Amino acid sequence: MGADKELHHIQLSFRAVMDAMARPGRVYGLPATQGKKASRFGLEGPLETLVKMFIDQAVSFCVVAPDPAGIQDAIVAETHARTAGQADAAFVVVPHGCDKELAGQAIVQASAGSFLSPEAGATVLLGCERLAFLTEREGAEAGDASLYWVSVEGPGVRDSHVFGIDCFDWVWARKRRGDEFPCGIEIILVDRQGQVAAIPRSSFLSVLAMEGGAEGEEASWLM
Amino acid sequence: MTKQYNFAFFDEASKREIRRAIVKGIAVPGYQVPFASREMPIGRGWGTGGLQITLAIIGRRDVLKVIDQGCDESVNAVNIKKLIHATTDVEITEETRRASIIQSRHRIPEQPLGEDQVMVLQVPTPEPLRHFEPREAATRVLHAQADYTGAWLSLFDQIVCFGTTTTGADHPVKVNGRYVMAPSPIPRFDTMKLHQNSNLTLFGAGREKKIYAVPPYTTVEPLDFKDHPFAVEEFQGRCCDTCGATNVYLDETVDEASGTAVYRCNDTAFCTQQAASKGLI
Repeated sequence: MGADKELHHIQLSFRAVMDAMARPGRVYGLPATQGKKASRFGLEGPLETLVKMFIDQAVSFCVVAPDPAGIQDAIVAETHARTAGQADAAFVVVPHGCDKELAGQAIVQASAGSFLSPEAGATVLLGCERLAFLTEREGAEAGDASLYWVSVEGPGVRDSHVFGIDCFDWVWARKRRGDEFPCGIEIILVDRQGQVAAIPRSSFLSVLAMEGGAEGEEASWLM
Repeated sequence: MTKQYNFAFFDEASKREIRRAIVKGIAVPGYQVPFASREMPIGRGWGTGGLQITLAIIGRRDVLKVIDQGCDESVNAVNIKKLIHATTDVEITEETRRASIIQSRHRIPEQPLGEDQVMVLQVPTPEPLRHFEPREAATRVLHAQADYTGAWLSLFDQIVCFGTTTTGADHPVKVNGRYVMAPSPIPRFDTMKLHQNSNLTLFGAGREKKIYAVPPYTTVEPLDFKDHPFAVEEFQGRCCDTCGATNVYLDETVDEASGTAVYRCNDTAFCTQQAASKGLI
């Protein structure tokens, strides 16, 4: 992608992320990349777009993977950003297909900021397999039980937003943190197709349906 | 457009920094996120905070509206529009409904905004506690501790001295039950437009280097007392001399010929639209 093309691609992607952050739990699409080429960072295209959108020499980051060195080195070479430990990094990058336990650990450990500087709370860029908005839920209830349905309430949400996602360990990890607002973390979820949803620290989450979708198994937990 | 600048004036690193601040501002409603306010080709205090936000978020598909004190054609609004258009080629409009980004100083348009619109407000003094605490380090601690005693006492003082609160504009509000925030110098008439609004509102203070936000559908409560409830400006029994609109924010001018007071809509685009729809112009 040429520099100009990339600039506009990042701008459109940012607007999707900004809308997602302003309306937590609503799923937005990142613009498609024309003429896909191999990732420079070894990340899926949509996650790489988020990295380019936010990470540069002014911030620190870490990559959560069994062997993160290759990806981290590539990001440092491209952006001149500093690497940091999971507890200190401003951005925590969790690539698609990352071990669930590692991802959960990263969410638990991410910096919450402080009452004086809540903006220092980390932003977790979390790759997932699939995201879907409420409109797809009818199909899922009819038999496709591959998604967990998460309800979001709080600022940015009039009643509640419900979205589907293939994993929900991150929800438990977020709950385990026990942050006291305004401290906390932001989680930006992105799937392989470029669908994005955001969970700011001000949101309350409930997991609505368990995998398998067995009748009577629907559960709801406030986080 | 002859290309002399990067798209939207800023280099990409500057946009990234402002975008990071915007995201944190949305995540912590009402909290003032510090950012490295850039030197701009207009003076600080003339809307550089709002301008920096607009330049960081704007894209080729956007339609921009800029108003100053409700007017699309004031010097400040026109110059901001010229700069943004010269560096982006985006479409400029005066129609509130058509705009995807509305940058404003002192007013929120009369026409309710939609979910697909972003309101950007220019803020001269973002710190609601500045009147009684001049030290930035101290006000940060007060916000951290949610200690807003001073803000309440300021209003109480006004009531004791004048029988009512005297905040003509910029009446302090509590956002999402946590942060007390300066809603920028919008008149009290506009303050409640921030409450459970459907659009995202971003605030930029260039001189004070702060960005903050009110996400859609967020609780915004003006500070007030049970026996002295928050009240907006009264225009009872008055209507716009040009379009006849009532229940809008009116400017009072004097008809030089008769010497009497005349009222007109402060929001000029709204007034023009109303007058046109009634066949008055």
